[in-house]
Amino acid sequence: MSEYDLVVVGGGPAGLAAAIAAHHQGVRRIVVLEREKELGGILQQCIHNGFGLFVFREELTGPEYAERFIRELQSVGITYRLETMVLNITSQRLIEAVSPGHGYELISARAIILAMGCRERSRGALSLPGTRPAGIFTAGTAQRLINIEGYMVGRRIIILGSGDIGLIMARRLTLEGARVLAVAEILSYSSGLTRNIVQCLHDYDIPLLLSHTISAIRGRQRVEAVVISQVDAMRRPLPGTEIEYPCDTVLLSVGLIPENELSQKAGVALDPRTSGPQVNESMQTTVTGIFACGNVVHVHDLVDYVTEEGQRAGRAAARYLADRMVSGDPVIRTIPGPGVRYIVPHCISPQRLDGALHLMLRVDNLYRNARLRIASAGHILKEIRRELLTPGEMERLRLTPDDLVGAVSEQLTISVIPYESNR
Amino acid sequence: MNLTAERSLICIICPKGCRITAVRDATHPLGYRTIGNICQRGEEYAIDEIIHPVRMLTTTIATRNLRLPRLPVRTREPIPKHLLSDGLALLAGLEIDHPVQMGEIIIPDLLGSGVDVIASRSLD
Repeated sequence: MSEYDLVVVGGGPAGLAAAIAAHHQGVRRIVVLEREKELGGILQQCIHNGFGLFVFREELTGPEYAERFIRELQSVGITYRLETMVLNITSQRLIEAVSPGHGYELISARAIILAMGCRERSRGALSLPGTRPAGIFTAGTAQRLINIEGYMVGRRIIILGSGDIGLIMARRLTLEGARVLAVAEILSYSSGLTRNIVQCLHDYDIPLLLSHTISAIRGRQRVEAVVISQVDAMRRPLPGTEIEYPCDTVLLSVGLIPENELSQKAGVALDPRTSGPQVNESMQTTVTGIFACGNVVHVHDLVDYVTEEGQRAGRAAARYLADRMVSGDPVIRTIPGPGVRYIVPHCISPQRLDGALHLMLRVDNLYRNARLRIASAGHILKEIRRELLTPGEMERLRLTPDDLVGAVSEQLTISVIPYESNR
Repeated sequence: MNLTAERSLICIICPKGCRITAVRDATHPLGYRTIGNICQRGEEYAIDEIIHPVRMLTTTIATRNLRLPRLPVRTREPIPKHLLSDGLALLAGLEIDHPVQMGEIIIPDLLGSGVDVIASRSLD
């Protein structure tokens, strides 16, 4: 059995940032376990630009963003293992892993950082009606096939869901010579960034059908046609609105789910709203010595914030390993109020804060000219005005230790105060 | 140059996504005046987008005898939008058969744009 001070599960942006930050804080026996053939995670297939505006003040492609961190990891001499799949983690921080090089092995860790990322919601999770022919891919799978493996997935394409990956793929497929017939979105707004709607759809005259969904997929061997219908307020297809699109491929861009099988095996409590671990201000889970960061905790829009979260987890794990983690009492819980879908972190120990903390949250709907109110037992601690709040964009609220001085109870509620009730 | 009389576009400078209408106006120093933008940056974006639209070109190139079958590449800076499709066609015909470093020039001065195409990653 090998022993490490810190085992990082996952070598994507969160794991890389966490391992490097822990090393900077003096942790030396670190290993990063990555199941793919190379580090970098999903960034390696995101060949478009737009990464790193906050971290590097440049617009990099995914592979470039990844390579900067991989180089740093290698230059400071952090150990990493590729093609290494973690099968189990116990609450005693024993890790079972398999790899071609080492076979089955047990690794013991004094601290663990979970950085497994997320995966795409698939057709099964949607119960899409129709036959089961070839030609139905999640957008990320298609992205990997085209950008890394070098396979084209189809010629005439329908995309379901207007998340950013779907929008990016609409452009990518068009540039590779395919015809994207439409992007259908069941909601009345897109969860994608405006920038992507303009530069991926408008630039190529690809229609975005809001309040529409796929009501049938036809084809025996391969997709032959897709029927798209308008939906009512309850998101049910409206009879009489069906339009059939002859096509050979369907891409699904219908949401990402944090990948937490290992967290659950380790006994880490999850938040049903995020499907990720409950964490505190130090990104520590409910199991002592196990930390989590990045998309395994909650799905981010920007990799820059994943990096930042990874660094926070790495620094906190280093403090924990050096026995410098101060007592957590008192603990303030963050409670999503009206309009707020989730908040990360789930609890805060003010005396553990190393400077300001960013509360990350998502709202449940579109709000214009609204305010975000942070309150404790009816006492308003802070209010922030936002011209636009949308579920597609994660909100970050900066909270300083001073802001928490007025917290009179053990709860902090954050709610959206819509424009109508502003007076 | 195509000087459109009026054009509407959505600003992408910030998440607000202002719907801007740019109207040809010879009295305006930039040739257009804009309606619907909340801030100055919106006006600059809209006029740039009409007079000189640019985009970053990102794609992949085929490889031979390297660890992966495709090498991701990009233009070092955004290039005029009208060059995208010829640029892609040119890159589609290339094959890289030697190890490359991130940032290495794959094609200098793409189509006379003055902008190089560079490797987005190292690959051996």
